[in-house]
Amino acid sequence: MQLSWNGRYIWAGVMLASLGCQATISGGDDVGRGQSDGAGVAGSSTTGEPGNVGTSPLFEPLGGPDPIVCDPSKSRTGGRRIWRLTRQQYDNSTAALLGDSTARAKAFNPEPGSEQGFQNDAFSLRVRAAEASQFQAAARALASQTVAGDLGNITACAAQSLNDASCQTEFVGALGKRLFRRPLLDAEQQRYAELFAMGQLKRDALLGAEAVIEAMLQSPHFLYRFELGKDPVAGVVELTSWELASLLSYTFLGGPPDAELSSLAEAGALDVPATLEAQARRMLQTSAARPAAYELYRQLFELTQLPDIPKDEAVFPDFDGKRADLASSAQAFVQSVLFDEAGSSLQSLLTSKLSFVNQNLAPLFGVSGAGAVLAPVVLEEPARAGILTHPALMSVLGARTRTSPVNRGRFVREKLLCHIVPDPPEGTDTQVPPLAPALSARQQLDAKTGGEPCATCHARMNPIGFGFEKLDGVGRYRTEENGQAIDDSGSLTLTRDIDGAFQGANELATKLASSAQVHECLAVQGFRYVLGRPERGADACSIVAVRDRWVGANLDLKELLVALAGSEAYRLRSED
Amino acid sequence: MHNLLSRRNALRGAGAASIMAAFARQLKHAGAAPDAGAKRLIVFWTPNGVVQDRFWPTGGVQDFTLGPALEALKPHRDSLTIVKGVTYSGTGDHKTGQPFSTSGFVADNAGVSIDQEIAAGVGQQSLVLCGQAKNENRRGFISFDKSGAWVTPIRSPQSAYESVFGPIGAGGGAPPPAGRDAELSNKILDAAIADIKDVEKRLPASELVKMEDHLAAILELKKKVGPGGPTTVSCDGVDGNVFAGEPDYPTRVKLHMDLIAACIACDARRIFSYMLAPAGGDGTGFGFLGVSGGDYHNDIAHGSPGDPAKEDMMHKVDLWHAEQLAYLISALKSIPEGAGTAFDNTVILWTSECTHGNHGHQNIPIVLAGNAGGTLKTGQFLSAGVKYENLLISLAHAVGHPLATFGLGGTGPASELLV
Repeated sequence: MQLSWNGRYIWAGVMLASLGCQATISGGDDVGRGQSDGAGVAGSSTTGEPGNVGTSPLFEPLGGPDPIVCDPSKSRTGGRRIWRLTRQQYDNSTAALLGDSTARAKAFNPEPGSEQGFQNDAFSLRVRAAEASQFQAAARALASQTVAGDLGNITACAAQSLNDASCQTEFVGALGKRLFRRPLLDAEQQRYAELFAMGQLKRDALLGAEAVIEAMLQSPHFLYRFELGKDPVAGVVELTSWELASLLSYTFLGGPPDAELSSLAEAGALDVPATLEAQARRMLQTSAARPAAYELYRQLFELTQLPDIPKDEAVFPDFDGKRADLASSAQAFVQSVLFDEAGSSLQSLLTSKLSFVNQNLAPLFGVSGAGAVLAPVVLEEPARAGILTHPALMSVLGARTRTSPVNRGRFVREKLLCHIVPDPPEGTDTQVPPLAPALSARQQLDAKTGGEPCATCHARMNPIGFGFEKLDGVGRYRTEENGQAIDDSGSLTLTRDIDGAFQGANELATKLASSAQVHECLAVQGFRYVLGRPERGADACSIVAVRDRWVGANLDLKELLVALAGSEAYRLRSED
Repeated sequence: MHNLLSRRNALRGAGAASIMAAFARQLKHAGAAPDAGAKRLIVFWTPNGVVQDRFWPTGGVQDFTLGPALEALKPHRDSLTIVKGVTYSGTGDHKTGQPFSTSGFVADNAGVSIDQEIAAGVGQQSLVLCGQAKNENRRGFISFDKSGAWVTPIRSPQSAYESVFGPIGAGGGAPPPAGRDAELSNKILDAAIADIKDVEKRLPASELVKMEDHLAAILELKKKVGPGGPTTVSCDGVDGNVFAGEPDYPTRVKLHMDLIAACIACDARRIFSYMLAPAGGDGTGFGFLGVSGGDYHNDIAHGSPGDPAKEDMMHKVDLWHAEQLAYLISALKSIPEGAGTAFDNTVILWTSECTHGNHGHQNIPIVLAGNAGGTLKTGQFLSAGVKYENLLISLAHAVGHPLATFGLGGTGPASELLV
């Protein structure tokens, strides 16, 4: 099994490059491949054996040209696990539970993220020396800040009678339930009561409370979400109601369970798919759902790179001054499609002409008369189409001084069609020289990548990327480059259902929005993000069920999240 | 006016090594001196290869002359082994070369990296640093734990300092409250430890590594619980304020190396993974060296083979990298230890993920500095024949972790390297 995994990886990463692109780009031909024999195994490592390590070994990419097929005999859910909070989840948790508004976790070590581009990857989120010292410093500051405020917010008696033994017990229990997102076990209640008592002995009850807050904030029960489940039945466990409350709230609110989820968990009433879905729909009506749902799209569309993507000041003046507004504009657009438009449709996400523009961004969008605040504007330029042509995305996918048809094509292949694009083969000079006079970027790139070993793969990327050429390296509309009219004709190949020529980004986006391959791919991407792990062949049935429900719901993007919450992969885990 | 400003000014004006020496002399071991046998490994990692024909020595195994790129290392010539002819597996690019350079595998997450392997083997923690952070496309990672997971490097010198020594003054956290003493600080961490042990009992085998990592990290924090307050490690002469703030790139690199020296002087860490910058186009610029272009790899290094103007610029960067290594060596040579210095018990591996600016996996630039307590041969130029995984195994042997195999093809230590 270890060898077979390693072989797959090499197959994906290395041999493909030398054998050409054909095999990689096919993808999705082997849903049952490796069917779950490696589920959840890592264990102790032996040096020199690649073994079941890393984020990738259990990654068996699904989606691509051939539809995913469910074979129930090979279906298996993911393993039991614990899942560390991301920095954003940490901040949302301390805000909700302790009223902290400093967003201190922003300065913590960043999440490594998964190969598939999602930062909430459960495998790679760890606590090592650096993280532990950051959590410790934050816990000290938060504890000190909390005891300086009104402890009555945690439990009423604490405002007046923290010296009473009964109130201390109540305080420890209430704080524990809040921070651990479930009631304390007896042993835990006793452990933290002893700590409280020691603090009181050293000085007073307030020091006891401070010590307990500091300790609980460093406990794995606060720092991780638990998915260990109830007693197994035939090798499968159902998550407990408390575990599901956390899973739901961090998925849909980005933070800890709210009052309704907590009371349902208290009653043990969450372990029913219909209830999970009803709660998902309820939370999608709240304001906290807006940023939480956006996070999937921010990461999928690689907008996490927006603060750092290098841009040449001479070519794109004052780009640094526009990064923050660009991020807000992309967020406003995605949220308006998801939450403010009837139908919340994928169609609209990919093809809407609506943009959110202010004075600062007006030059990028080519509009005049914009005010200081981001406001919706309908753009009529033929090259504009939804999120795909948003200047934030065009900037992230652009090079420092110009566009990058290769990267734009790579993005569509990987993120919307679920293909795997291998790296260039050994020794390839991937530099495109400065634009020669009288050559368009398209002509130059064709000349550069037209021969082997480049052409096989680039024939799958460049013709898609060329469709965006009327948008420059930061997404400004243009009709000529180097004195020549821009040709933004393109073509799609090796897809399930949208092969053929197209003209410009708008037509490309319309084709993508209509493609069953794209619909399936977005179900896969949603799965990766919501479950915090790459998919395996054994997930095929869950993904097929989500895909079919979502397609049946007219591609309503909120319903994609609801379908994921209702899936078996969401609430069941395999025992080992 | 505290130390930081005066020291920064001094760094600009004076020879770096002499300043470092003055700094290091202030360092004294906190308690007992390190074990007689304490050995250190530092992985010193620079991206994008080198200008090949200015890097390699000329001459024979013993009677070699350093190449022009290693000008700064001339004073340390006899402490070096320069290894030419190393070939990496993989497709000759950044993506496969980077994991291979530390783990001997051509994919991320495929196996443990040498720093983590040795750290676990000798009961230590590896301090993982980088001069620039880049997470988006996985180029920011060269350290992998035993489960193959990325170990996120620390970029901020202050965070790195605090992860080893605890908060800088009161600025890193709230001041300790009245009544707070070491016993209470310990009890707080003990609660987390007890919770971790509860969790371990309930986890499937595949998840245990998370709690093992976490427990090791908390035990590390417990070492910092001193009698005077919750989180200070006593190591005389290390002024945490020096590491505060957000310095520019070259200053940050110096501070990282100062921190490595401080860790060694105080025996707070013995194993280090230091990536000076990630490979590929990450926007790192070397304007401070007079190298044009905002993105060193894409603007300069990539096009350098065969382009004399770009080669000249890349050479400046190679020279600077060698200067940084020389600074680190000098720093360690200025820390007294036993009858000699801390450098006597150290080996530094300078490596990269590629041959030159336009990739390639032949003739990877490799320099070993230090003999790790007399276990490694030095003062030699090996022009061919060392298998890279076996080189990594040799380093493990040298610092007290006698590995049998490592990576894709490691079979045992290289006789050319070990004494």
